[in-house]
Amino acid sequence: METVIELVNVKKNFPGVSVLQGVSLKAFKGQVTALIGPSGSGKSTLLRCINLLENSDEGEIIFKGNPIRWKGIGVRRSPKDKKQVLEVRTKLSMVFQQFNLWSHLSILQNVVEAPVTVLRWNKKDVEESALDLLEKVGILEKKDAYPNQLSGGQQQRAAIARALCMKPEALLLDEPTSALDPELEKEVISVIKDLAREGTTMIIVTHDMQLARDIADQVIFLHMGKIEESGNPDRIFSRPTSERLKRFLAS
Amino acid sequence: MILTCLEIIQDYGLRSIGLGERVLPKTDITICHQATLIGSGMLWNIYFGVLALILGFFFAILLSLGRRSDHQIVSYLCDTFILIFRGTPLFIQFFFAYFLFLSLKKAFPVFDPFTSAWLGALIILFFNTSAYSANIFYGALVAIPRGEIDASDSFGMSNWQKFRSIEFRQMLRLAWHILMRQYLCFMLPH
Amino acid sequence: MIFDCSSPDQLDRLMWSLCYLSNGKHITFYYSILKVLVLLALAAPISIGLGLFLAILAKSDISPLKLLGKFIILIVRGIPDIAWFMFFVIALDQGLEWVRHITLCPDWTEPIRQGADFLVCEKAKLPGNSSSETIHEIYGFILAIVTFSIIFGAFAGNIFYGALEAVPKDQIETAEAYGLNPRQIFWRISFKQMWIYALPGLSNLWMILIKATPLLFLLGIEDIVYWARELGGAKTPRFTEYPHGDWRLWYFLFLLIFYLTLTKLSEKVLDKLTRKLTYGMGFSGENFLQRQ
Repeated sequence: METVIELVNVKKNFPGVSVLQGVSLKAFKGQVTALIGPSGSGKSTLLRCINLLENSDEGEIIFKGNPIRWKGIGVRRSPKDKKQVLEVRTKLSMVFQQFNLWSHLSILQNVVEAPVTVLRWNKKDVEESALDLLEKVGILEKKDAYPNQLSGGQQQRAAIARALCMKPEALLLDEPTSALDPELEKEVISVIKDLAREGTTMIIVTHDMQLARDIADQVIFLHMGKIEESGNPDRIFSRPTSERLKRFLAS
Repeated sequence: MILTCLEIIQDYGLRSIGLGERVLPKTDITICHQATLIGSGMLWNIYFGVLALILGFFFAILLSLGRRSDHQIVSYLCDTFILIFRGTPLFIQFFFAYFLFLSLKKAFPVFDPFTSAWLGALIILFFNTSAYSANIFYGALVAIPRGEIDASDSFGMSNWQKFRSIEFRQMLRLAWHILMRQYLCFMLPH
Repeated sequence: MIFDCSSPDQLDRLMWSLCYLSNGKHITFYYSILKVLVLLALAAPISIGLGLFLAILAKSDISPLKLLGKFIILIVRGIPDIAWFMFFVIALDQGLEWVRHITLCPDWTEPIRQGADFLVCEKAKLPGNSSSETIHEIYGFILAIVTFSIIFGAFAGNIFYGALEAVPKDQIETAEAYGLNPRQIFWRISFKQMWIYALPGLSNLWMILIKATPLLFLLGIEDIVYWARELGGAKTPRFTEYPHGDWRLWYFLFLLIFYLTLTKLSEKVLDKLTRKLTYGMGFSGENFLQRQ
């Protein structure tokens, strides 16, 4: 199986707190990797480190076989090669907890923005595929609306369309349903399930165990910045071995 | 150099309120002379500023309450007052008031003191700062969360009790920073 | 002229008023109203341009430019505007004359500063002594526009800088996550979103600018205040064909109404603009405006 992202012993400190204490994992092409764990366990930080929004202090991040090249060490470490950062960011599209649609652009403009300005794709073609994607996530009729005229669920679906329009290697989803009411959560979950069924590569941080169980090929349980346990969803959810995971699943 | 400057300050420091030397030095106007004379003029700024602000503070509260009043005529009058003094240049207001008082003086000699700066200018400054402050107070009044007013209603407070114990304090709290910033700008030469 | 104003003392009231209000001096008065509008029309866009320039400077990555931008914004902010008006015009005028003095009259020996006076050689005087009245007027007016523009430009710079800072961080971070480079992020996200945060401040500034226009009078321009005093003053038959008492009260009442209309009109337009700009964006402009 082809590895899209590999992390080797990645560490990250914020002043006074050690958020990631050596995390190693592999995410495979066409598979869904779910990161679960209590709040403060470093799941979101891990995702942000993968997309290089956050600089990890130590360890390797390997994107499609190429390790990220760094300059400086420890907290001063940052990516050496801007082109490489750009490649990672354009090929790993992020979906945020708070959607983060650009408020001054309409929904369609939001979806089209990055492929046209960053990837310099032809605007007509991008628009065409953007419309297809908006239809797929079920908000085609809202294409000319502005983000704040939409419900949270609609905004998140638009954000997913925006991420997909980059034709990425993988989607990084950071608690995509946490900011939504239970009712609106459903519409986003169904979109994510569709994507999983189609074989979209995803790394998803979620607090929704049912979702993780339904779509994940691999579940990783993080606790205090360390991987406590990982494996396929059946084993993780039916036969957890570590005490912490047992307690976490029971709560 | 410093000593001569101190002398100059002694001579001219209070000139603007009629104390010390009257006649300006004819020759050798130094930087010190200029600074002292300007500083002396600022004494008037302080007098006008402080007096107008203190009076204006109270009048502004009345105006803002008036503007919020259910009584349509009162509300309209307060609104117009605020509009006129906020919507026109202070400079023009001074001129207009001066000529208004001049005309009034001809008909009614009682208005004589109004044509002198200490009273006429004070009145305009007073009205002006009242209008600006009233606008801030009004904004604060409107911004008080609806729920807090509902709560005081539900405890059976009278309008006056409600104003005294809830609205007035909230209004001051919300308006304070903006008000202070405005006062600071106001105290500087206007 | 359609009507005959040759002997005003024989006209009826209406005709007299019409003739009075269209005599030569009144035409100059109307021109001075135009002066105010021209000042506004020129100073506002120049200020906005200068303000944008300063804000971009203050936001730049190159630290000397950043410091310069911040410094200019800071000093102008810290000093009351009227002090700037008085100081700036004199400084600008004397500065220009001083530069000309040095270049045009190198063998001048007397000191330039004599007590409170500022003396330069004949050739360096701006505008030259031989220039017509109109040239003097135009020079003064340009000086005034430059002064207004620079002062209000710095204020606007402060507003734009604050607005750029107010753009939510996650909007910028998202752009980073999608691979937009710093330049693209600045021009396509921050710069576009900034306007809505700047608008309340700019509206305020526009109102202040309107209300600052009578300061032209202090700068020695024959503006509406000058002409209102001039025309309103009592006139005896010896000096004019239209004798009247002291009407200055009414002239200044007219000015009050003029300014009131101008501010009220601006308020309407700016309200509309705010509503248009906030359309669909995260917050209602009204709530935001109230904070000012």
